Amino acid sequence: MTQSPQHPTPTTQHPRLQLSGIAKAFGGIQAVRGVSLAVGRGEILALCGENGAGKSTLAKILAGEIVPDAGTIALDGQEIRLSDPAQARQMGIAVIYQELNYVPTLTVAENVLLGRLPKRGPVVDWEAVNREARAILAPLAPHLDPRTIVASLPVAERQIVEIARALSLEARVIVMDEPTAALSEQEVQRLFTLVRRLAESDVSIIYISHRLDEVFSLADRIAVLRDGALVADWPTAETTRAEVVRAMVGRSVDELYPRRESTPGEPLLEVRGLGRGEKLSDISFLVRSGEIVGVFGLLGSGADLLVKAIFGAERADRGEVIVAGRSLGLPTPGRARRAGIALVPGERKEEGLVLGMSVRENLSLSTLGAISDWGFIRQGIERARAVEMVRALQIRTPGIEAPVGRLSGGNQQKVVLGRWLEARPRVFVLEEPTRGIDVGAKVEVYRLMENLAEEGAAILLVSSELPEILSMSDRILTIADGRLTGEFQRGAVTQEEILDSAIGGAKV
Amino acid sequence: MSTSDGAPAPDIRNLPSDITGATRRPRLTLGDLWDAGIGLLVVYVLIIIIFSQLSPFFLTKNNFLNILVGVSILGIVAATQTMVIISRGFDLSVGSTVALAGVVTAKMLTAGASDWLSVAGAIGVGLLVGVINGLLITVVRVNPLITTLAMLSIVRGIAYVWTNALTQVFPGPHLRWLGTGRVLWDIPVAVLIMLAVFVLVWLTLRFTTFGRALFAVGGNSRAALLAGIDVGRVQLAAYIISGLSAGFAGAILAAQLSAGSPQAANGLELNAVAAVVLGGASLAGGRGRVWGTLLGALIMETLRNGLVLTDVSSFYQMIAWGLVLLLAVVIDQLRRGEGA
Repeated sequence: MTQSPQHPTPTTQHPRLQLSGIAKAFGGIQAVRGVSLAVGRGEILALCGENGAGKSTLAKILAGEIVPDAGTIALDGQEIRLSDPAQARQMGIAVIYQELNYVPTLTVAENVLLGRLPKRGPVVDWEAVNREARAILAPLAPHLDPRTIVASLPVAERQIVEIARALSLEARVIVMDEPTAALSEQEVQRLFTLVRRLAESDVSIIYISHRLDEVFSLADRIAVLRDGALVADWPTAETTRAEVVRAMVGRSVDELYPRRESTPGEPLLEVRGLGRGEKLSDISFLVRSGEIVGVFGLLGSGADLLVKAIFGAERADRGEVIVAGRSLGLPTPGRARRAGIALVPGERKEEGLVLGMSVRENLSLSTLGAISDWGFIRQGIERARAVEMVRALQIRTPGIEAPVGRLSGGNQQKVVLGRWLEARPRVFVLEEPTRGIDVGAKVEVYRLMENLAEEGAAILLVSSELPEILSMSDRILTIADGRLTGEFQRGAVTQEEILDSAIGGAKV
Repeated sequence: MSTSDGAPAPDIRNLPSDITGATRRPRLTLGDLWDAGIGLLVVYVLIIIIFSQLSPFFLTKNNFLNILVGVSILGIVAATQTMVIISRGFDLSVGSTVALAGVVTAKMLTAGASDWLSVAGAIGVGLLVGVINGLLITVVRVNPLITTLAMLSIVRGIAYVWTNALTQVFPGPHLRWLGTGRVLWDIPVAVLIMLAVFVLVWLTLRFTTFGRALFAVGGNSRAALLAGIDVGRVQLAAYIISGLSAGFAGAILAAQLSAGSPQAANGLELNAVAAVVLGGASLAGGRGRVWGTLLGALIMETLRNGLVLTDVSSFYQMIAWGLVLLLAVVIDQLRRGEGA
């Protein structure tokens, strides 16, 4: 680690940035509650927390995109108000988001100097543009040609462009929101070198991540958010991984995942030789009644394509899907639904919900046929079912007529699940069912999965969270390059073995 | 700060007191009223008041029947256009379809076909155009704007080629009941048909699974697909319905004119889209009200009628139409900018 004794302690008289009592609610959901936090000059503070813990909201508050309901922000001892992004940037606070904010079709130089290209008279002075951009980039990435189109760069280099822009604005505080999500190991190391160099030149860094390895190797201090509140704040040297995890989750892992004895019954879902071009190579497997089968694959492994193809939402070009002994051939979504397959897609807002519709309308979307006579929806039944489902799943909503977009992520996910529960399917295909939802809702989703399996459903769980896969699945399949690379029984396998198999190591 | 461990307190903040929300009625705001279409109604009443001051002939029963007859063709195609636009589509071919259907009606009557058969022929033309539109859009996946723009040109072209650009007059008594017939309290048949179409579309959108599917497909077609809705079939149906109604409207227009003209209903498609948007539908799909569309069409026709009665040149009429459309859309945009 690069931090050195002469580093200023976080509790100097005037920390670089001081948050006091910051709070923010979205339509009844308290996203951030009374967070007080200080960052010293040249300090690297890691902000950890589960998805939905309030990290990103906090980042957006610092970016000036969201105005907090309460609390104050002080920069170098001076209280400031951040009411829009331009102001935050002027104050010297730069936020680098997960989804980067560059214009991919412009050059590196144009992106770095976006909005303030040097001009000669009315026309842009391109020579000056490239010269200035090169000067800004020099300490970060001297090899980077300012005239390159950003879209042609690897993600890590694009991030450097963002950082360069932040530096050129003389940022005093740089907030990085999950910057390594899309980076390779090597790129991560390069980014870390850069972050440490920035800290040495007195820039304060708030590094938001839930990857604990990174946090422990990089940060001077670790703060943990849970359910919107700050629950822990230690110097890195004085804490352990286990302690951080416990603070993040708020309970031990044993409590998070329900335990259960499974007694698999007859085969419910059988996939035979499903394939599509090179992307999916003749996948075959079986899921029995009462069984939860986990599918783990890295980005681009084809896991997402596989689940969509089982439901017919992506086209496969060979193979068949068999539900309870009846072949669907290559399914279409309508046929899959009628055969009793439910799909809970990974991208809740893009694929799961019709955001302009109410909770009630979203809940009935897969069962319209069952609650209608001659094509006319029986409104009373629809309403009663919605009320019942809201109660059963404890969906927190102002009412069944509330627009579904107003609910929190966890409650939105429950709406997608509830829609399918109404359809009483026998096979559940769950794609990242707990992505972006808070811990409480996660536990509820896990319980629900357990109950469904106990009642005899077959569940296919696709997740990129290894602990989730390991704890919830009776069997685990790994997929890499569009083919199955391993099959493991519950309890008889470690995270490392699964990862290894998912990278493509162990071929079956 | 030190660690504070332990499970979070049970969260009872947002447990609803009454899930159905029946007891808690939120305050009505001006925006809500606009959303409910009241704003449009106010605009319409204002237009009526203004013109009744400007012309003594405006506020008469006969003139209002004229307005209703004048709006019937636009109304019929705009009602079904509402369904297409809610599903996030577009049907620009309706004007041309009306013309070709009218030509077919006239040709069939001239050739000795019965009234009913010729009307059926017109509807058949609409069906054909609708099916072609729908298949191109849902199966070949051509953009709806481009597809129906191309069909606009092709269908109109066929009407011209077939007739040598000549209006096809058919012998008098045919279809008189449809064109100028009147029933109870002197209401023109065409107006009744239009109202029936509106009621049918309203029932469909409000109460049927197909109507719900249209909203879902328009709001988020991917989510609709993954919920197991047959998105392609829903869209196909919307275009077929739009084609059918344009074919029927073509027969009514031919009946009104006692002729089928290849240049009839020029620009009708844009007026239909304008009426739908005026009525509060979103071109981004998922939103729309069929009664709003009726008001939108009425506003456009009343404006035209009033400006004619007050002797305003038709060039000014064009400007006035455009301004009304912009006004309605701007108000709607501002309303949504508030972040409801």
